[in-house]
Amino acid sequence: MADTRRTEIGSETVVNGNIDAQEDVAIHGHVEGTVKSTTTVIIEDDGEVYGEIEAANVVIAGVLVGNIRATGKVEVEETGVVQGDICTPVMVLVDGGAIKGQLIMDDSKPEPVKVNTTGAPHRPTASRVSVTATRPSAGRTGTRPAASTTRPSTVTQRPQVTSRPRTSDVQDSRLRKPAKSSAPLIDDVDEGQEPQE
Amino acid sequence: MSETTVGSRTRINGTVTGTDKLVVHGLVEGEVSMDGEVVVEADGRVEATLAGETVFVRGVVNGEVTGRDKVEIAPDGRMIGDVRTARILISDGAVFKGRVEMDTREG
Repeated sequence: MADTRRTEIGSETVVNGNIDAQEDVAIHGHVEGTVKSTTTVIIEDDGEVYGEIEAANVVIAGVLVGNIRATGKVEVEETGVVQGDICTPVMVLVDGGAIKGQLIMDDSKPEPVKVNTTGAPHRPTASRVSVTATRPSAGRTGTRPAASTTRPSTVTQRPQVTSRPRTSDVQDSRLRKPAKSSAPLIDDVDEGQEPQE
Repeated sequence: MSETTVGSRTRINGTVTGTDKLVVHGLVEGEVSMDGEVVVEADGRVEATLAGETVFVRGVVNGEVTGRDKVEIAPDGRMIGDVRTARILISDGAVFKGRVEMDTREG
């Protein structure tokens, strides 16, 4: 019996009540009640939970009707459906996954949000790409052609979206968007003040 | 057919029903009613009304137990509560406190 350190609710099992675990919980069956874990709760694609989930990490490939409170990461897979609010610092929603409810992301994670000063570099990256496409002169740096060769590979990898580095890319880009929108506002104010002085 | 496992560091408070095999390493409180086999492992504890096709106790059970086919208590099993079953096996060393009611199924 390998799985003594893991709770698994089989597909032909119904739990009506609360599950409180200090180990991973995988749900194939039907649970009505609160599911808590200090580690990971997984609702498999044949699993259904009607109730709250509190855990470090939550993976939804099945159906959840209820709220999620996570301290680590929430991942909604392509077969996953969440009807309820999600409160988590890190969120991954795979293409096909469905959420109906509020997504509340704690900004307790400092790394991505505070880099507001790099609002400008986003435009240059876009122009760099077009420049390398039109001018193959490449005398400036050897890195740019390398960047252009990596681009097609990322495009082909996109449909397979489950690897971890990729999901973190998604998180970063999502978190930067609000940061970007706030940064130009500050820039505008600065530009407005400089001429007055 | 699939299996339901309650891990050693898990507590379920409520009703567990179904047709899966149920293996308990952790704690289940409330009510258990399975159509399949129920195994309470050495690190398992059931504080509940417990019903299954067969009930195998290596750990601790506190509550009324129904084994439609068979109830078996292993040498280090502890069972406190009334038992209703067709067949019962109590191993040497097992602890059992309660009444036994044996249904004699005829026909």
